[in-house]
Amino acid sequence: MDFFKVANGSLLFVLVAAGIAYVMVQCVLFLRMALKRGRELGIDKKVISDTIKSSAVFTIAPSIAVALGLAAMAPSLGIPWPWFRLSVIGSVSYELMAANMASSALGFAKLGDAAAAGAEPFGAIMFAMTGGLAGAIILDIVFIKKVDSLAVKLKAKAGDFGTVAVGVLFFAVLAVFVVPFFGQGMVAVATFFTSIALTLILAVVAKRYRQAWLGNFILAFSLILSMCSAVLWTQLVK
Amino acid sequence: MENREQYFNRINRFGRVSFAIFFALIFAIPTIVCAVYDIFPSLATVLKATMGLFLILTPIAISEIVSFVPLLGSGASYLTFETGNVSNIKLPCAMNALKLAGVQPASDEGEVLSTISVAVSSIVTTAVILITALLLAPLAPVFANPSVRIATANVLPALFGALMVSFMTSGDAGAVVVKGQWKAIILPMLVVALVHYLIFPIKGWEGVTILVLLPITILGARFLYKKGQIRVVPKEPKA
Repeated sequence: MDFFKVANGSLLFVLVAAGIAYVMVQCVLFLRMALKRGRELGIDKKVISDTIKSSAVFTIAPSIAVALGLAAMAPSLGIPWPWFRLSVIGSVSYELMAANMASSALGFAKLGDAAAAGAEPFGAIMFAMTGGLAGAIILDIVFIKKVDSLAVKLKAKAGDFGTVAVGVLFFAVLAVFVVPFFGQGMVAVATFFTSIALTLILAVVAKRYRQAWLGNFILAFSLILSMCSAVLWTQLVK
Repeated sequence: MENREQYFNRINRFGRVSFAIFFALIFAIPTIVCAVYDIFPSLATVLKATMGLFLILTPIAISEIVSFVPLLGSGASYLTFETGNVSNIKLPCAMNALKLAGVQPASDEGEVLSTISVAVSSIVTTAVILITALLLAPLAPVFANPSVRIATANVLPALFGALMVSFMTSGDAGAVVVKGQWKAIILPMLVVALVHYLIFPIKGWEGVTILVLLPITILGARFLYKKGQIRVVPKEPKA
């Protein structure tokens, strides 16, 4: 049987759509629980609505990069499977790598070679990409509650320093992602600094001209504009 | 009104049960497809193909749980790990939402706002990918456009530049402000620079590096706090 007859088959489309629908229902239920809790805690409605708006707008630009991942994976794995993996559980940065690793373990030099060998490798690739995450999911189910509970206790125990410690945790993430940009060529560095400059400029504009709404969208606007600036920097570096 | 513990237990119960169902569901998809088309691979083939990925992704999961759960809280963590794209979308999105609201992670308000942020973000990402999947053929020229490729290839420098500013310029933490917080990023950046450029490139090891860096960052901040370089002061009322 042909690889793509299965990979682009209506059965897989239906199953994937059902899987994604399940996760969307979950999102809505989590959202409802959080909104109700927010009301109980007396969180200002404006804070909630600003959170919703800024999160929605912020997400669009990086989602386009994920969508591009779908376009990159579809020629090798069909549309529904990458659609599923990139919508839930997967990450654009390692999905293609995961598919390649699975096909290579099956003895194919390239992912495209697996497609030429009929439908059987597609089944093995789907199982491998799913099974590879089994340990991660089990750990999530078991440890999220424990780690969150411990973090809240430690923060409370540490008093004022607990506030500092929680505030600087994200610095570890920033350091790990930011420092390597300096070795990725001029375009990455220029884009990074453009983003810094745009964020500062937009923050000053929002403050000076008292445009409170702009404050919620600074990250989204800086992100989109500095992604566009990368095109300009690429032309200049050529 | 539920107290903190009741809400915490309820959201974790829901998260665990719904995540467990999801776990069964993701295995059901390949199982049904292979059964219908009669293309079941042998167990040995599946194990051979799975093992490499399992050994890479499981330690990454450990580091993500330890590093990101204290920042996201329980509700947002279940959704984040289930919907993926953690460090490029969900975590920055939630952190930005907390920053804008002047709320700290590991607090009641932080738990609520990060859950809202990640839920909305997941719905938007799914919508964008759905539109792309439906319009893949007509959108093909757009995706093939070199400018679009360059722009999307640079999403991380663009994202982290903006995040860096918002996290270093504001120490807003609810009723208090953390002054001089930015100084705490110097040590982790130096450590990463030293390791990445002089010892071994951390690409592919980001999760493990974050795990190692967390205690270093906290200890560095502790030192600065003790020396009075980082201070926690009450928030001044707005004029």
